[in-house]
Amino acid sequence: MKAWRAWVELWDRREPATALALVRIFVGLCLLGDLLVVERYGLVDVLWTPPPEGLGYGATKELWSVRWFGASAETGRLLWWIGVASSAAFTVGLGMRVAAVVMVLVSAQLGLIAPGGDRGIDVALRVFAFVLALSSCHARWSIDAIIRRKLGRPFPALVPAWPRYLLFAQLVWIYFSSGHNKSEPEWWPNGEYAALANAMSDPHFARFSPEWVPYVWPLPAIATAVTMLFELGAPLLLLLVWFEATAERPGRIRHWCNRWRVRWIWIALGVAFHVGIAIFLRLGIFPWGMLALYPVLLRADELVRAEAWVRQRVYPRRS
Amino acid sequence: MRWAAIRAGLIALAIVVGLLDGLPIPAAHERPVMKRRLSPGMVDAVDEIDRVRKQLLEPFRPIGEALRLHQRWKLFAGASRKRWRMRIEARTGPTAEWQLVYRVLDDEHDFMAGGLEYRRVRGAWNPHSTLGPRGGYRPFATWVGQRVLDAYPAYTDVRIHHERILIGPRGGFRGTGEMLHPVIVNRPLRRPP
Repeated sequence: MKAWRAWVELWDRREPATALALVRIFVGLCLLGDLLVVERYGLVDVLWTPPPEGLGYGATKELWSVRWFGASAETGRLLWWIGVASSAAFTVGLGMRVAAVVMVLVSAQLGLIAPGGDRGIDVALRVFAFVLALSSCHARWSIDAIIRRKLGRPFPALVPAWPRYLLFAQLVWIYFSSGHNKSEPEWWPNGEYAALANAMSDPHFARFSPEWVPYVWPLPAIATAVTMLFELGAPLLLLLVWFEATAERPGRIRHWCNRWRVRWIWIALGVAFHVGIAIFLRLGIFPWGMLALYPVLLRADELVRAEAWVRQRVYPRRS
Repeated sequence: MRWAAIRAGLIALAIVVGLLDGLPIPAAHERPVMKRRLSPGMVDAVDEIDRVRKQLLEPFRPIGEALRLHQRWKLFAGASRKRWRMRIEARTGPTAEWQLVYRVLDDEHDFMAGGLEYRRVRGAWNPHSTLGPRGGYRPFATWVGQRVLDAYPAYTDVRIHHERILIGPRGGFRGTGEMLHPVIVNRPLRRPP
């Protein structure tokens, strides 16, 4: 009973909406940017059009979009427009909950029509947006917040923290799941940790011609080993957060982790991991979509301090 | 407080469902490898766990299917040394030589490179590491073949295929000359007036 009470209390906490608002903006920008890139390459009428004119081989009558609008290039373009409008509305926080639901539904339809183009990051962004739709991420830096202030019904200063906790758990699970699903020997000592060297040498994904890769050995092998440690060690992040929240309690490991800021080392590794991917591999929005969730790794008080620091530098006279 | 308890219960349910969905049980195409590596008793145990898992997840399956959601993640797990290099070639007649129009990571042959290398399009032509060409490969070949024929009226045939490459033990790669997954797109014959 005590454990249940603690569980209920954990998910009933409140905090400023800063982290959730940042995630909303970053996730929205990733989805919007990705759809705009499709238009830039002139692919809107290709990706979601049924064969032989396009790549949308999943456009069957089982999909509501096909039942309603038919399997055609026009349906693909309509879904693209709705996707652009909903992700833009989500980013600026205009009718956030409706925008988020529409965005998730459209993203799923686009993924079902062209399944080959729907990658893991699209699934992850749908999960993030789904959780954000249930949150008060529009309580800050949003048009919804401005409208509510003008109507005399502003959002409360503190909003439910559970969506941030859930997104935090989601991020931890994505890394841990990725770690234990990497069964290929190249990720392990028996494959000489060659995975990242192989990925950077794969012409389908490499950003640069890969002649340089053998010259920097063993750096790719070290990076592979660190990646595995990072991913498989992700659940320890929950422990590190708990250590920081209970810093006054005794314990040498707790004291050591807090003193050496191990949580910050893990976050820095994650940022380096994704920036490295963005530099060396062409994986589209994958690194940015994952980094979009990183604000949830910061405590509310850390974000308050960070915001004060930024405001002081941007508006020195006001502060 | 009552609502807080209901919410905490729903969150617990969501976490349990997510963890069940994300259990690292081998997928159908991984089963043969699992059967080679594990004892028959272990294989039976894994199958039984998977059966129970699927039964428990059954009520939530429509949500996962409609929104294309899952909780099993693989961030670029395929990192074997056996890879491919997609290329597009075209020729001006049945006896003419094939000319390279596009090859991945080749600045001199970069027809529509930006669009072809965009992640959603690449998802159609990049083969699965063990299962080979994906469902979108043939529609992709038909579409891109037609684009080449539209852009270069002199060409009559376009060939899309992959050269098998071998990545070196410490990176870099060399071509093997072995061509896989060829698809040829022809210009439709014009009827005489």
